[in-house]
Amino acid sequence: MVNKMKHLDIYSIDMECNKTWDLISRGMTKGVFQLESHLGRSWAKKVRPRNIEDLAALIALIRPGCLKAMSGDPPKSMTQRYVDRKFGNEDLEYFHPSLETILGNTYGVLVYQEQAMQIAQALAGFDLQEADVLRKAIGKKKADIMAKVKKSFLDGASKEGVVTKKEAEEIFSWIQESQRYSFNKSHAVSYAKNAYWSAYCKAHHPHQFFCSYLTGSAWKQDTQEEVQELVNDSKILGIDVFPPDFRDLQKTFYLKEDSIFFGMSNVKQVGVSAVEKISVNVKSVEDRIAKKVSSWSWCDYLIFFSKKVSSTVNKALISAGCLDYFGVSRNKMLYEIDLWGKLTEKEMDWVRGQNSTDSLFPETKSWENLAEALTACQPVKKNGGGCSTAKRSAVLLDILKMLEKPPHALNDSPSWLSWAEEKFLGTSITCNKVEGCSDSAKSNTTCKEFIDGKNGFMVFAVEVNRAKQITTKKGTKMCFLTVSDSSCSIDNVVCFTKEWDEYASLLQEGNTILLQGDKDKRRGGLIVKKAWQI
Amino acid sequence: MNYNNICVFDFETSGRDPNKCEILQIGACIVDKWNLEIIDEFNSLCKPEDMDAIEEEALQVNRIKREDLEKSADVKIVWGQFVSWVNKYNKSKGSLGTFRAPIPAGYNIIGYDMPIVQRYCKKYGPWDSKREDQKLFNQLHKLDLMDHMWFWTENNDDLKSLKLTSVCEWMGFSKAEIENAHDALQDVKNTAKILVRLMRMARTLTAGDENNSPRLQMKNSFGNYGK
Repeated sequence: MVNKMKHLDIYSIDMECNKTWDLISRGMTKGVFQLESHLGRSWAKKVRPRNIEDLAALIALIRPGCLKAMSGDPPKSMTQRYVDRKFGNEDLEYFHPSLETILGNTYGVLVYQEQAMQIAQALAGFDLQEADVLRKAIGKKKADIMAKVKKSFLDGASKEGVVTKKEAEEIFSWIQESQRYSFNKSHAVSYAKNAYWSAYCKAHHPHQFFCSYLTGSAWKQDTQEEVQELVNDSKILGIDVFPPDFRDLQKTFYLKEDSIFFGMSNVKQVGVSAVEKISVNVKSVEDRIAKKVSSWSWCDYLIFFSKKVSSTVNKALISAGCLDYFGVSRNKMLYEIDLWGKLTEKEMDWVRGQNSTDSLFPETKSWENLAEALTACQPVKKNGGGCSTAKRSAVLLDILKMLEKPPHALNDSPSWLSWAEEKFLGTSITCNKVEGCSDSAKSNTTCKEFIDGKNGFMVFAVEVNRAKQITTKKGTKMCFLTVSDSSCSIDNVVCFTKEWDEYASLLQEGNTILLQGDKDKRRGGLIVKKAWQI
Repeated sequence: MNYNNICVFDFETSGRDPNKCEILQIGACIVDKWNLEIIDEFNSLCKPEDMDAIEEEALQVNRIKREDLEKSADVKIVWGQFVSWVNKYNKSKGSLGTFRAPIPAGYNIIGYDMPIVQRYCKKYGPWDSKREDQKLFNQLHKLDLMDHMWFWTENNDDLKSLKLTSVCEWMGFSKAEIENAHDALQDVKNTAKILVRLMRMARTLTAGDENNSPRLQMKNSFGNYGK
């Protein structure tokens, strides 16, 4: 797979690849240059670009100026006007027939500075230098230059005689208005090419794409949010993501057998230097017990390795699932590592079989489990054990009692697993909190099924990940939500005022609920109808 | 306080004085703040440092046998495990702080169990030396269900007393639940049940009715009832 990427020549890829355009048109643009924000994704779905010209317009049109520039009756943003005209929901108007050739590609919307230059050339007879002065005045928003250019434009227009003086004034005011939002076309096209290239990589090499973007998440402002979104996106595309595997000793995100794995330094509280230390120590323990790390048992790790790193690192590795390959529950490992830590260094050495400190591991012992090792060590030395005093022997006896009869269950509940993974990996991977709720079986739709197009009567069992309340123009409250289950998450859930008044207490971050919702036919999101506590 | 779980706990002790007694049994459970379900339980006897200091009366009330205590692990080790267990439900994102630690809850904990928590935290950790306070639970909130029951039942003459068993009887708990009183875990489960009932009642009262207006309007209404 990696080789396939090595041979990818970005300059010779197919620029009319349906798979790539479909991906963009479906709004699956997380990680795609310029289109990865919520805004970019939702407008990509509305504009549905199928060529570079469309894509360049999309990139230019989702800039703040364009979205805020309202015009016409009823007032609409230039972006919405572009979409409505593109899909025939609004009549195409060019104000004057002479503008059709210039604004045809953008459905009569003045998107680019170059279009303003062309208008000045066609209607006012500007030469290239004069047109460039106009571009500068637009780009730099300089009022004094703009006033001078206006005079030249009106003089030129009356000389050319293509439009009347009144029409020329109106067109110029239109150009002036575009100062707020118009964008340099060459810039937009370069961005569009970059966006297409990254979308192409995502469509054709999704594993490598996600792996690289996850690695890059460390440099993002909100790493956790970035990781969450990328992992969710990869689930939608059917790519499995797993917690780090201790045996692989990888620092950062990596690919193995068509799946993405977190690296150990991606676990919070485990830094790169800790991973380097782990690698060195794994080698020394492998030599000592003559077993490759892949053949270690949990007991081998606990007795021979755990003390080579700090207790914080051990707990983080266990909680994140790095040691799941031992087949022992994470809670049992956390419990035993805590008890093992109560032994003195000498007692630990005795258990490891290092009776004589000046010889190099003469009697390395292998134990079935911790209880067996501690039972052997518990007697005082004169009775053949490893404890130096009767007091220490009593402590070990107590530890054995705790091992025999733990005060709490040592299994891993879904709610704890999802919380632990969220804390240490930034997102839950192996399960979702809702899996622990008995009423979750009452759902009939998963988030992935919804994203894949399911419609009709839908009930979801989900966790609320994000709830952003807003005040509407009427002064009422409504809310935008992100919800998830183990399949993936839906980030465009809307709860309108009536439902928000009723269910606000349930639709709170961290809560698990049954949610009945309808598909928003216009925007493709989910509209909350009812919610129940689970 | 959307982040905190609730830890309902109870100690069976060697005497009545919370400033001197030793812990003989720790019972606790974690209640999920959202769905109000018990998600984990902790139950362990522990051998106190001074077995001779255990009052016979305390053993009779707790129904704990000396020989069972002798067979149990030392209180220091059990306390360490209790701390690790509570910390598993601390929602702090980075290193453990108390802001997102579980909220302590129980029956008569403010007057009895919390002073014991303070003593044991000071002795075995975790101790917040800056604030001179325990660092195991949330430091801001404590839910003493005895106080809450006083609040909700002051006009009820049919409630005999505010003892846990009386409240459980009054609330209609099963015979088996009531008969096992003074077993730390059973007391904890009963207390958790009271807590959940009160929280469900509060949620129902403050949620919208069929017309979407809260049955109990809290905002802007304090001081208006009865006037």
